[in-house]
Amino acid sequence: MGTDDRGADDRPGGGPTAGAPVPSGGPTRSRGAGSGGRGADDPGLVGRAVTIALAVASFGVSYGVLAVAAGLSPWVAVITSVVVFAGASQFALVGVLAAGGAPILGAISGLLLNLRMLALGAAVGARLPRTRLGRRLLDGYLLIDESAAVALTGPPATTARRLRTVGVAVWLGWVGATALGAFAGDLVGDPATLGLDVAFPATFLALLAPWLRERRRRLAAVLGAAIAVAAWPVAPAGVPLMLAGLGALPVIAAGRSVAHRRPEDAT
Amino acid sequence: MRTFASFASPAAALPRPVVLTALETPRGPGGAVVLAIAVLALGTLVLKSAGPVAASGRTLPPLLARAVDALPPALLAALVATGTVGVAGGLAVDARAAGMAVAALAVWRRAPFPLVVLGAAVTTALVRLAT
Repeated sequence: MGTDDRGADDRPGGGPTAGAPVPSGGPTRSRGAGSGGRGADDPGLVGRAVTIALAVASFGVSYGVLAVAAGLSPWVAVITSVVVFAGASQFALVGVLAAGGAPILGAISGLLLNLRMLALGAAVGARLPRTRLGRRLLDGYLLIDESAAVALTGPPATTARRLRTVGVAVWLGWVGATALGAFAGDLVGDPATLGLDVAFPATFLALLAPWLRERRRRLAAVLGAAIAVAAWPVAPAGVPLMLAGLGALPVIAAGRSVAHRRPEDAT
Repeated sequence: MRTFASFASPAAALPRPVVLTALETPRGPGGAVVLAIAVLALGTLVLKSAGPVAASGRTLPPLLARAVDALPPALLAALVATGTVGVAGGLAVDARAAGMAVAALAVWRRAPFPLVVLGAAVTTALVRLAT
């Protein structure tokens, strides 16, 4: 990787400028285009995926420990990581279980947290080629904040490869670490003492940066952050991130998007 | 445990009868817990795959295209902001802010990605150690 890491992401299409979902995602881009063949010129991708997976894994260990403390058997803890595969919502579930609340309320607050995946999924989906239903479901399964954010950074032809590379790396880290925490939790300390809780906002900041070059997206970012922070102390978990989507409204309402203005800048 | 065997296949939708069985026979981890896990798993898969299933290979209508262009930066920025100052039930400027300042500097100087994350984590850990 090294320093061309970022360059690889920023150059080809000015990052998410390539996100122009309309022209590039159109029917002209045939099924093969995004399904992995173009990834060779993606030098930083694996290193990036591994870094993210390690940060996620440090919290997977916590999840395994907490899930067992909340009364799940170690195997059930691991199974939840496999079938749900959405970290924050799993923490929400075991948080409710640990507090003795009705389990279904834990599931509902988890789903509330995951509502944002609708928006991220649409953004990523618009850049994916049309494939078999099973393949698309698998792409959806691998969609998490981190894989979506990386998938959206770079030319549309690499979207599928980015999504799957980061998705699989994080899956391995998350599920493996859940098992580690669930079966051998006593051996591991609190990731916060190592500062690893900051790995998440730091990751998202690095992934946000290329979007900030364009004025409308910058406006959406500023509004989204302000709304989420304002809502954080008063709204239940999951709601602030959902409300952050409102930050995009003025930009959506403002008419023609960048995608429309500069269709061919993208590639 | 038998009930869980079919949970293990990731993308496969959970057959309805399994959920019903779990409801009717509360044992093992407890029926209500099994149901909660099933609801969270299925609901999450629906939310995550709606986009890839419905939007892939399609030309989005202009309004939706503008939405998918503007929503990711709004959501990413919200994740950055709440991850930096959000604590359970409130806001706090603490060691994380120092770590994020280093991360911002690293991003601005176009440092490689692992360095951004590592710089933020090490700074935060050191500030925590010192305070």
